Amino acid sequence: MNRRDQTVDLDEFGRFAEPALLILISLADGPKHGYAVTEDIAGFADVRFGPGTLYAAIARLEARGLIDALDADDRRNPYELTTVGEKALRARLASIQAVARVGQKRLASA
Amino acid sequence: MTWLLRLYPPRWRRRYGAEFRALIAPQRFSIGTAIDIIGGAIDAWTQPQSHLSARAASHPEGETIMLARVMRLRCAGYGAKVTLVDGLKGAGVILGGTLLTVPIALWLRRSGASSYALTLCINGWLIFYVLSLRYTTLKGWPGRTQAVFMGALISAILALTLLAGWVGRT
Repeated sequence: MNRRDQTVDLDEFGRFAEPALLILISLADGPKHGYAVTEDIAGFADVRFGPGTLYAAIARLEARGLIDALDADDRRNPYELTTVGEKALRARLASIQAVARVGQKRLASA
Repeated sequence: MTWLLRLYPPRWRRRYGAEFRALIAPQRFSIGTAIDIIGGAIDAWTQPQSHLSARAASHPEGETIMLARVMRLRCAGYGAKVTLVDGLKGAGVILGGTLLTVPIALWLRRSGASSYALTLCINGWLIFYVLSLRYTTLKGWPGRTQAVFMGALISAILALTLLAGWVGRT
């Protein structure tokens, strides 16, 4: 991936890149509705999304087929990770791990 | 805060309205949450995701494209970080705008310009404040969302300013 591609990527996801990634991580251990996703992310990442940001990210993920809405539970739709979403999340986390390993290795040798 | 839901497009409300209402109904009003919801509404109008969904579903290489797209997600913290440089840029816009409008306002006062021009110039720094938001509060939002948000605020400032000019004239 060259530098030009990276620039286009960031433009496409904009401020919803990190919320989208955290939502995928939240859904990795089972379906959740919006409120549960917010609480879960607040628990493991210490970040609390506003409702506008949360649903802008959910809409993008759903539009790209990375998550699916299940039947409504009360008024709230739980969402689940799709196979495509799971593959994408695995790939992204592997990439993050690789970067983290390099960083830790360099810090250890510094 | 559920009334803010009316700001979203009808199509978006039909899809997410009920669960969005359930999410925000128990929350107490806060400026930060209101701005977030308004930003989300502008985003929903300017970047409707349902169109993308229909296109992706009919695309024969949809899965590959989806994977390629999601792999572009960034890691680390959440949202666009407002750096010191961003803060300085925002402050620069406000200060620059103020330094520009003050002498013009003084000159207009001396030359006996109309009350409209004078009030517009006096309140001009507010417009520069709104423009500075793109480096701070609105940083990271899509360009069109920023434009709509800032355009609406500037329009409101202009309307109030002209109203004040009219009141000052009568």
